This record gives sequence, structure tokens and C-alpha cells, in this order.
Amino acid sequence: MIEVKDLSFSYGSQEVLKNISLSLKEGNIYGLLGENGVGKTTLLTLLCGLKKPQGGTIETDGRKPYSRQPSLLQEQFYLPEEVSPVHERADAFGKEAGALWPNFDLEKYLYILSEFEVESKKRMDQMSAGQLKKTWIAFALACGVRHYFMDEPTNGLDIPSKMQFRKAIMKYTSEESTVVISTHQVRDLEELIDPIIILDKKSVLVNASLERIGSLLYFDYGKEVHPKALYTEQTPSGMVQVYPNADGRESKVNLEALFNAVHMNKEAVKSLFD
Amino acid sequence: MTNEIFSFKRFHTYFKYDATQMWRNHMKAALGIGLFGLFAYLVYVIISLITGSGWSGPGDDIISRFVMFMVAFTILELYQTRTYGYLTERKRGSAWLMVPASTFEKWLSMLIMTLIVIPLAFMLVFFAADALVALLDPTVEQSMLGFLFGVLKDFSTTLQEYNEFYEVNWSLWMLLPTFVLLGLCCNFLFFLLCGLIFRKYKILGGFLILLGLSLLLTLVSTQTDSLSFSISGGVTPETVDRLTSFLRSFNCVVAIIVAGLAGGIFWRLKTLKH
Repeated sequence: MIEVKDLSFSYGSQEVLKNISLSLKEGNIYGLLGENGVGKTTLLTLLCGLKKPQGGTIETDGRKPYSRQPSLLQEQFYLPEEVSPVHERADAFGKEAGALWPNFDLEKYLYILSEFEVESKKRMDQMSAGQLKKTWIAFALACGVRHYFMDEPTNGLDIPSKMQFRKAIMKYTSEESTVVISTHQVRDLEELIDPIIILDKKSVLVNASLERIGSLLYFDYGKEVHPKALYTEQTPSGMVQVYPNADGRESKVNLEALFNAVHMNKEAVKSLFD
Repeated sequence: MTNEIFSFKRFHTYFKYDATQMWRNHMKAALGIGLFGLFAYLVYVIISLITGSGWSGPGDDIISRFVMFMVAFTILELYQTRTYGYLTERKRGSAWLMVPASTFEKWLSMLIMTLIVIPLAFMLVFFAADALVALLDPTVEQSMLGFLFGVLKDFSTTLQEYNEFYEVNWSLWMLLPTFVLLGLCCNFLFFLLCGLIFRKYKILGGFLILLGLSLLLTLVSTQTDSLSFSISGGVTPETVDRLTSFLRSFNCVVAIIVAGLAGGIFWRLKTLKH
């Protein structure tokens, strides 16, 4: 369980996060969405302990991430958007670096690499950006940790790799895992992420499961414009509208439409979810 | 319960990983610096051949070979800004911070690498290359190690002769190597810390700090002559006592600086953020 209370962070005079509070429960794959510059990466780096909160607290299973205690570091993995090109072969890297995580499974690592169609004998600094990313994803999943923080993990992956990524996340993270994925590529991860967190500079606009989102907002794919629509978009196949779900109808949540609806009606949506 | 500061098992695993990374990323460069003497020798011979002087090695010019050693050793000291300098880079630095070991374990491993492993590897290569040259080139009279053993033998004889007249001040003979070792530790740790503090221009930053410190020390030394001594009157028990007292004070000061630098490195690692 990760508890964030009144978290604030600034870069000099530029305030990025202010009084952010949220709870991240195990067994979930959270999708962290937000406009550019609202602090998604900053929040992830604060959650894993790469930065120190300037206000408020973060507790992961009762421990402060910034203290970087080995017992906590052994239970978490941070995958940045741009990963490091290590000067060694992928298999050797797994063998050497994997020894640092007690639950690391070398066989699983090599197996995921083969599923990702990455040559384990290839030097990582000679791999393409996508192959390197997949190697790090395979390594992260083989570490068998409880908390994953992934920043734009599908950036740089080709279409089959994105599908392999979704499958790997579902297959190799346990029921006790908490996965937080920051992304702009909502379509890539639509079938994977639930709950959804939509972050704004000053607050968390939405932190809810798809079920709850569906119970509060209706996603209308019809052709008639609704008078209370928070967001309307013309699509090649028709129209998608988002409006308050007054009569409890069921609909399929469209993450892009949700994000845009929230972005254009911050206060209204926030009060709806509070 | 997990010891969050030090565990032998964790330290052993981390040290092995650190040593492998060091070998892959830097030891080859450090060994290249170790072959500096051999390169200088080859350049010397090639120039002799080109200028028509025929095959000509350094002969009995041991001083120039020790100068080469000092030059190579200085390059090695400056190179300490690079061995762990990558920690200030976001990609590689983040990955290092997330490695499951305590800051103390990472710091200890770093000190062992910097103060023991790297200098020993360098000296082994430098003196082995020098011995090889002395063995294969008949114009080279003796190896540097052979010369050093000769000096030590002469020193021992002088010491025995001195002992016939005066009571040997053994502490002096302990203080001298301590003086040299502490000085070396001070230089290595200083440039290591510069590598961890400055994100760019690490060596230049180090030199600027040294320049500032030199100016400060010059200013202080012109205000006091308490540390000065003269042996112009020959080596007498009084001058030996003064020298012992001077070295004791000096070593204490340098030991405090070494401890301060080691503490500074620990503090930097503890507070490093990405």
C-alpha cells in the first residue's frame, strides 16, 4: 500500500505538485495520466525515492521511499522513459545485476526476452531504442518486486511489442503487485490500466476504477449531441460524447475521451468524483 | 529483521556487481594509464631510431622513468572524476540509486575500489610493463622496482648506522609512509568527490577548488611560521624530533581532510537526487 499525503514539490520557484493526496493499493495496475508538465514523472520519481518530498509524506508499506532502505529497494523497480544503454550483453547484465534483487529469476528474464524477440547475446549498447526498452522491461518483470513504477513504457515500442508488453505485465506481475504506469499512449494501454489517475498541478482530478468512472460518466457513441455533454468529438465512425451518467447506464470507457473531458471540465469532473 | 545499514551478504553481492561494472566501464582505461610508461618508452625508442641515433632506450635514467610514473599516477588521480562520475547523469545515476544496497554499502564499495583496487591494478601493470622492458632491452639497466628495492636496502643500512649513534625514532619511519599514503588518499578522494558534485567540467571544477584552496593556504602560511623547520644544520636528533612533530601534526590535518572527504562523499551519495 502506497499512501501519499499532501505531497508538494517544486523545481526552484516553479511549483509542480501541490498538496497531492492519493492511495495506491496492491493488485492494481494504475494508469497515471496528465497533461505535459503536470508532474507525472516527478510523482513517479518521488514514489520510488529518487527525489525527496518538499512537503507532505509518501509511505510505501509504512516506509519512506527517499530513505532508500535496501529492504524497500528490493521490493520496487523504477523504469524511466529513457533507459540506460549498459555496456554488456543482455544475458550477462541479467546475471550480474539480477543478483541484487532477491526474487530475480534469470530463467524468467531470458524467457521474457525471447517472448519480446530480443537476442539475449546482444550487447545492450548496440540495441535499438525499442529493443533496449524491452530488455529493461524484461529485467524489471523478472525482478519479482511488489511495486513497479513505469514512465512511458510503451514509448519506442513497435505495435507487436506493445501487445507483448500488455501480455507480459498481465502474466508476470502478481496479485500483490502495485503497478503505476505513466503514459500519454492511452490507446496502447486501454485494456491494461485500471484504476485511472488523472493528475493536475494542484490536485488529483480522478483516481477511480473503470467501473466507478463508468458509473459516474456515460460514454455515448451515438450520433445525437447531448445537451449536457462535457466533451464531444467527431470520429471517423461517428461520435463520442462524455456526460454525467444520471440514469446508471453501462458504457465502455474511452480513455482519450475521458482525459479530454476531464481536461476541459476540471472542477466539474473533480466535484463529480469527490 | 533486515539490517538496513550493513549486511555482509548484501555487501558481497553489491561489491561483486560494482567490481564487474568497474571492470567493464573503467578498468580498461585505468590499465591503459598503467601502460603509459611503456608507451613513453616506445616513443623514446622510435624517436631515437628516426633521428638516426640507433636503438636507444632510457638507459640508466631512472629519474625520467619515475617522472613518467608520476605523470601516469596524476592522470589516474584525475580519472577518479570519471569512475563514478556517471552518478550525476540522470539515466545511469537513477539506475544506480535504485540498486538494492544501503548507501553505506555503496559508499564502502566505492572507497575500496578507489583507494585499493584501482591504484593496485595500475601499479601492477605499470611496474610489470617496466620490468618487461628492463628484461628485454639490454640498454635499460634495471627495473624501477629493482631500483626501489636498492634504495630501501641503502635506507636500511643508513638506519642501522644511525642507530649506532642515536636512539632510532621509530615513529618517524611510520609517519613518513603514512604521510605519503594519506596524501594519495586525499588526492583520490578529492577528485572522486569532484566527479560526484560537478555534473559537467568535473576536472576543471576540481582544479578551481584546488586553486582556491592553494590561495587560502598560501594566505594562512604567510601569517604563521609555526609549521616551518630547517634541516640546513644537518640531521641531528633535534631536527629529527622537529620533523617527527611536524609530520605528526601534518598527518593529523591530512587525516581529518581524508575523513572529511570520505564523509562528503557519503553525504553526496545520501542526498543525490534525480
